[in-house]
Amino acid sequence: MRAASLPLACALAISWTGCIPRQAGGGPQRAGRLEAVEALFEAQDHAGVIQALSGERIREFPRKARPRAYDLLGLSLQRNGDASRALQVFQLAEGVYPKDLNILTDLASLLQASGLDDRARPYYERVLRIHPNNARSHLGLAKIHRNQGYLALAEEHYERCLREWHMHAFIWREYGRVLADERKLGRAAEAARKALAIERAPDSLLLLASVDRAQGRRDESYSSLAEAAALEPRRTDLPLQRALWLLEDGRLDEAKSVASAVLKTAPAEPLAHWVRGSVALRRGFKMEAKMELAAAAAQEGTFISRAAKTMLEALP
Amino acid sequence: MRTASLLRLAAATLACALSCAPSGAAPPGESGGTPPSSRSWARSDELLRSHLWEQVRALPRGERPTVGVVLSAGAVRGLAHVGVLQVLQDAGFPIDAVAGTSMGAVIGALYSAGLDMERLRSLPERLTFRAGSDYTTFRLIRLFLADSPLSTEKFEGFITQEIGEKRFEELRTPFACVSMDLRTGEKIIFREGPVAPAVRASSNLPGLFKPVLYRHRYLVDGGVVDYIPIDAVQLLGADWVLASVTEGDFSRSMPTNMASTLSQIFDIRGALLSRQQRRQAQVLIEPDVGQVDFRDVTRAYEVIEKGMQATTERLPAAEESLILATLPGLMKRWSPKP
Repeated sequence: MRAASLPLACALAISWTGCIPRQAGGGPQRAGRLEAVEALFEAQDHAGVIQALSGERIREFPRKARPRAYDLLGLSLQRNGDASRALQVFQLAEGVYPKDLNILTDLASLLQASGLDDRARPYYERVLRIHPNNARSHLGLAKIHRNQGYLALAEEHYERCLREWHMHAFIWREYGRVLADERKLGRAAEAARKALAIERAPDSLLLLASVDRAQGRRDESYSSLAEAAALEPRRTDLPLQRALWLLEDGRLDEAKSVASAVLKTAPAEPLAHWVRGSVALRRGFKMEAKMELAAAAAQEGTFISRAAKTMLEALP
Repeated sequence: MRTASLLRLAAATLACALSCAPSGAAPPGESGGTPPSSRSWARSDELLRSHLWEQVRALPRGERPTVGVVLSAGAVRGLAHVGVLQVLQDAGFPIDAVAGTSMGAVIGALYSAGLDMERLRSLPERLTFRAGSDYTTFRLIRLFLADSPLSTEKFEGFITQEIGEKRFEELRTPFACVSMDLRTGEKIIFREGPVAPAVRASSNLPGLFKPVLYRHRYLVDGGVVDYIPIDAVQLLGADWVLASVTEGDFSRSMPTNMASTLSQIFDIRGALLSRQQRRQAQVLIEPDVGQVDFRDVTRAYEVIEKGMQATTERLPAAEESLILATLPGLMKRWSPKP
């Protein structure tokens, strides 16, 4: 598939970039020009980078600078919202520089971001054959494996990635989620704590709270969740998670009160209505339950709506 | 100035070459678990699904629908069922009964006997044509010249080696498999007695292999009469069915020999038979293996991966379907006691 599409991609990319570089040499003044393009890229002037590198301009760069020039052009096109042209440039560059790690990983990332996990995977794997410790490829593969259900492989790649990038909270968090999915709860909690040691983020607190709860540490889980909600009071998912846990624990008054508070800021929130309906149902107030469930069912196309309708049908 | 620029460029180039993080040190963004938009209910859906799923999983059998998993025929394509079972097991999906035909019967029997997933995943290393039949070059020549099909007697030994001499009644998960009596055209559903001969009969491709004489029946592969044995799993008590279907895409292949022609006839008949059965399943999982030749063992691991991918994709829908089927029962538990 890739082999078949490569000539077409190359042809398209040639039409975009002018032609395949073939001129060797180049003076220091040209190297200076790449630095200027790098500066434009750093300043997020992607249109400027595209203008500086389009047409036949890339071939005016020294041979050694050209892979980076192609990479910058591809990245700028991507960030400018032109993913298909970015793909053409990366595929052309990958054909010409098949061992350039930046080009390979950026091509893989673009494919992955476009939902083409199966096509991204071989590029990441190729990078790892050249450079077995490449953190970005380990991270890319970890995400692909997680999406496709290979939790053990995802875990392994996250671990390899974290050896290099151990100061990124979100990677610890994603790793923790994989461990939690594998029911390796002790290690998941440890990963969440590592993420929190780097940055006190609500999502890390939520992960820790969920893992604590799964391990039966309910007080700790409520406390972490409360801290997360305090850090980001505009998020409705955190109080809703709290309401669901309170419901599970039979703390009906508190569950209803949290759901009602959510409805004050988000009156159409179907899950808050569902929680209030469930509280009414557990208390035997069928009319109130029906009213709340009908409100929850109003958001057509959601799972909450289907669940509420099923419950309404089952209510006498 | 120019020298400094060059040095910086050289340093940058060297850093790029040596870096563990090409394209700068910043990793790409986080996947999953992102804060919700107040206008989207996707996160709320996820929260409710997770909340109810934990309760459904915790219910004992009898207080929720009995979950049946059906594994279709499909030879090498049927190895995708291993990936399907792996993902279901990882997700803690309850499986109360299993039924299978042909390769589905093989995978289903091994799973129901309690074989661990690691051993199931390595099945392609052990389940070779030679391990399952009396195949030799001489036998193959005899098959074509003397019209003498191969025997699958060794296959019984293979199943026994994997799970011991188990009977259906002794399996950890209730299991049934399907075969066809060549003399009457009847569908035979096995759910009691020794497992190995029943599985052998269920996966005994007619034409290539001799029919199996068992319990006064002359048996061939169940895929001829029941490609997706939903009624077999219903006989085991299942009232909520997830079916893994690994049909071949016959519209794109041009068989050139006896085996592939037979297989294609199987696929066409299987597709016709399965139209009705598909409607009876609550959830269908269809791994993308239609293009895989039925005997292409070199693609066995790829096929298992396809099974995992398809199941991971369908898992939220499967959970939602089972939750909705269980909700009326859950509501009874929630209601205050009179």
